[in-house]
Amino acid sequence: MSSLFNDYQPGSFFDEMFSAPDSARSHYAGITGSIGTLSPAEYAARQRTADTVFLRQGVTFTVYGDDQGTERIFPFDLMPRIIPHKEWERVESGLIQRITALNLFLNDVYHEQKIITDGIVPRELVESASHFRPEFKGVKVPHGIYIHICGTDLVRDGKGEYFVLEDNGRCPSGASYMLENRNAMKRTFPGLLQSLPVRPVDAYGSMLRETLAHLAPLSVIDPNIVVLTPGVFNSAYFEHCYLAKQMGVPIVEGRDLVLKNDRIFMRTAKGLQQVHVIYRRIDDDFLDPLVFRKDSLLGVPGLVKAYQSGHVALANSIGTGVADDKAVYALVPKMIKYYLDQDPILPNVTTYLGVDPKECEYILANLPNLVVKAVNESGGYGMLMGPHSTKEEQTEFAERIRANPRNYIAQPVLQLSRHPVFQGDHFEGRHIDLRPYVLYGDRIQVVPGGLTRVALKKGSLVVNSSQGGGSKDTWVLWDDE
Amino acid sequence: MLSRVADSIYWMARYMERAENLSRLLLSTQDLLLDAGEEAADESQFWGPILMTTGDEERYDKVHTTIEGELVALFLALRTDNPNSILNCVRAARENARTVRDQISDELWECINGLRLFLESPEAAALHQNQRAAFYEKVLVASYQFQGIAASTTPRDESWHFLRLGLCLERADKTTRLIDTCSAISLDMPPNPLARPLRWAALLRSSSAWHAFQAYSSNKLNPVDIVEYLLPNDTFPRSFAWCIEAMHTALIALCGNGRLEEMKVPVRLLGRLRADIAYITMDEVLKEGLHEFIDRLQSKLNDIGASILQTFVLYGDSAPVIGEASFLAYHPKVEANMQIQQ
Amino acid sequence: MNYRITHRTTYEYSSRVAVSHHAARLRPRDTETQRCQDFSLSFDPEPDLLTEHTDSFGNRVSCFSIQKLHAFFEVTSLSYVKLSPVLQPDPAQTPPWEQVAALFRDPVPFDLLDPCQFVFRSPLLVHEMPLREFALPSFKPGRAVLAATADLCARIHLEFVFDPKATTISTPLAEVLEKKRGVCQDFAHLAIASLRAMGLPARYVSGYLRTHPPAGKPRLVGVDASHAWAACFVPGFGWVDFDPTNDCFTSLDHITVAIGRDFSDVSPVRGIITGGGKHSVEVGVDVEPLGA
Repeated sequence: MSSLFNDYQPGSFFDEMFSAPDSARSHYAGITGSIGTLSPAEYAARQRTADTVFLRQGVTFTVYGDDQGTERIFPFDLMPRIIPHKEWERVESGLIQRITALNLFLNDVYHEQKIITDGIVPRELVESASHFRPEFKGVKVPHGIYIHICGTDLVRDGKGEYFVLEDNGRCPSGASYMLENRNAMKRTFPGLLQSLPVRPVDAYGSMLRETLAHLAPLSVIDPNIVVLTPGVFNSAYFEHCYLAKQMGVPIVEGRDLVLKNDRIFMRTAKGLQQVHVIYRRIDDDFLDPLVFRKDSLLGVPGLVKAYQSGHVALANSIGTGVADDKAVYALVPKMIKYYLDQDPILPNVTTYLGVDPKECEYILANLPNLVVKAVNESGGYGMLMGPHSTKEEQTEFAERIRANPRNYIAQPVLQLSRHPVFQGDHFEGRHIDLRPYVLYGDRIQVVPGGLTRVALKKGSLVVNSSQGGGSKDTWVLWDDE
Repeated sequence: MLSRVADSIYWMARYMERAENLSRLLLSTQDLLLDAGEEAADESQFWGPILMTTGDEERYDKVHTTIEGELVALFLALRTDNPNSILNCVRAARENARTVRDQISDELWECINGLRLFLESPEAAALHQNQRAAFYEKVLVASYQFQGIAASTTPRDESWHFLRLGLCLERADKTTRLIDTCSAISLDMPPNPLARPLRWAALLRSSSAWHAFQAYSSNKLNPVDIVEYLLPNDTFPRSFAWCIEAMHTALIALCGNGRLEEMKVPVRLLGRLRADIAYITMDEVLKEGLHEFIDRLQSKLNDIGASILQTFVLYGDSAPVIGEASFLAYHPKVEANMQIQQ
Repeated sequence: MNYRITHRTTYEYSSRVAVSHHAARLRPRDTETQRCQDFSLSFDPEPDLLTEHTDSFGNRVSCFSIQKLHAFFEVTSLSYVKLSPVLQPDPAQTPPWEQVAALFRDPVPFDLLDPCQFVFRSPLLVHEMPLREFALPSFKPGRAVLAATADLCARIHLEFVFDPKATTISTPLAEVLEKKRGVCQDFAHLAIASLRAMGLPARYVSGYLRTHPPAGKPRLVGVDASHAWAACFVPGFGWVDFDPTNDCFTSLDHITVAIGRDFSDVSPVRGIITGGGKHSVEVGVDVEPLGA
């Protein structure tokens, strides 16, 4: 039978959809049978429909360095990524295990520091982490939870094994794209979604609201929740508005909030109204100009004090970045063992720490085969891609690592899994990752799905939206076929 | 609704209305000159009062030494160094709209943003150079569109009332300033040689009231009737009394009426002004002097504007309100935020 | 020794400020040899909001906001402080520096956790530099930690030129090291970073220094300034303050106000304003000795 996927070559990678040419995995059977029968022109027409949906809804991100504040859509590839039930169960329990351990870790390093005194985590890693906040030592946070919203980045290797690449425990973004991707799919393939047992994601808004409401001071029955945004110039402003609308709560800027008697109020036309929970999308450094170093008008002077005195709750808490440090990341499996006495369900990518003298030697000896990352940089900055680097670059990096070993880690180069992506009139394989969203309120919930990011450039491993990445809808099935 | 949002919506509406009024004023002045014949030889007597209306005399004098139509028109339309130019008003409206973009309809945003994009384009400068009337008409049409879209896409909640407050306060203010440009000329009718029917006609045109007034009054171009029509008469939607009435509706919707002791300051101030204008006779106005009367109205309007800002935006801060300064909304003169560290 | 200290910070703005917030660390700390007997702040104009709290290093912080238009702001602290003589251990008798550094390697004993936080990189002192090489001549093998520190202190004093024009608050340490010029803040940072490079805890101390008028001349009022120095940790004794700018251990002339990992933890008055245009800041400090 002629199919859109006839000429598709999975290549030597792990392909999410095809185990071999013309041999689709069973959980993709439902859509190969329907989408596969479309002609390239018909498929392209559907893709255009989806693009218009995005434009019309204004699902955009702002491109920096452009004073017109150009807004672009995040490229969307129509072909959904499908995860069968069993596979997802493992991912889900792995994520729950991980966020539990990370929160126990944060609570520990800001209080008793047992994991340090017991010699599991070196003190230097914690105290010198740039996102560690000594101001928060000994401060009680609501329910002892630090990371309420987590967007963990997962990748699969050449064998299809899931690995955790990064825990984003500060202000993870992208949830709005997850929701809008599903909307676009509903518009373009309504029948298909109906006929397959796809788990819905649209409860995210109410789940998020529930999670936030759980943080409110106990005496408050109907808490006032707000989304705190840096403002219209922020690249994720669309998402901030979107999530605020999904939850039905106001979106505020720092200047809308004032401190009085250690309480936070928002200035409304009717007067000051107390705020109980702030879903903040501003980094720690900008949150309170009186406490943190960076002077900025984005935050609220006195917010930290109000938080410390328990009159207002923040999600995520302050100082969670210490768990995001790439060197601390390497120790998460040990944390899981230490706090939960369990083996990690989702393994880490093997990571060599510069701070460990032996591992540092290994890094220096194997630079051409490793990816070296600076621990506090993100978005592909401060990185050396070993196999694609020149001798000079390697020498330069070796010097940097020797001068400041604490600042570097290295990982083997991963062959990320690939997925068919539509390219004009046919499908080609492109590397992908997965960012599911975990919410920690009165219980831990994982949204069944997430944001599948695609490196649209052929051969590229970079999925970031700012660097030519796109996204896909992620379908988690109720069953395995 | 957040104070900042209320403030921005209020100023968005004010700046759009300001841009519209300015365009109409420039258009009608241009028309007036065409009809003025020999009188038009001295341009400055026509353009001078316009600068007075917009309050920009001082700023104009800084850049130009003579009052010439060309210069004044460009100064008021497209000069970027004039914070009150049409261009800067639309920019300010757009900046305020931008900060509350999620609170207004996409159509409303596109309308304002579209007008700004046009005004900043080389085509706008060319149009102003070659076909000035078409330029002003384009701004007028965009402003009518703005009002139409606002009326049909804004929920009748606080956003609508703040939008109306801004629009009507600006309009009331501009109407009084327009009338004031004629307060120095004689209220006599022809054939008295002091009569200046052309100027009175221009006043009506500047207020879009020409046709409406023709239908209203049998006594064509009687100056006293014209002033009556634009001030205490509340039938025409640019008259002072009409604007006050519309503001009153919006204010009551925002803060209720209630007992006098609990009444919010702007409600009380506006209530007094409303009674004053509703029960005044033209004889009383003329006895007080037209200019003096208008002066009084304007100072009351300023107090009301300040009290609106104080009540809904600045409350709690004991900051006195100076002129139109407010630190939440965007204004063309606004100073960049700065930070200091010792 | 008793002191009366006034510390006045004056801001002037070219146009009016709508809102300003400040955080001030001006209250002298209570230490084993220092007692702050009275402390008060006065303001012009009066702030609309004034709160106090203690930061994680035990410094008292006053936060104040002014929410009315102002083009001028002045905050003045008045402190009465009593100093008693500092008991200094004999530098030669302190433990070898290697032994001290070893104490701060994992696992760190519970009673050393507090000094331990001053071993690591801190916000302003993160850059990697040949500081170990700079420090090494002072840290000969087996040398007593305080003797080595005193030597480092003396070398900074000798090799570096005090030059208020050479640096600003934001000059990086690398530049200070290269130019061999700076002010007390730079020298304190240099000493701290050097000690840390050797694996030793070191902290930053901000405060005031009594100035001695030339013999026979009256004391000039208001010429004093904020001062900064460093402290190193001697196990079994505690923190020992030393002043690399003046090559000495601190004495009855040094009044401690705040401590932290580096300047960023202790800046005396920092603030943030809305509006204001150009601004100027003036600081006047007067340290008046009141006798014993």
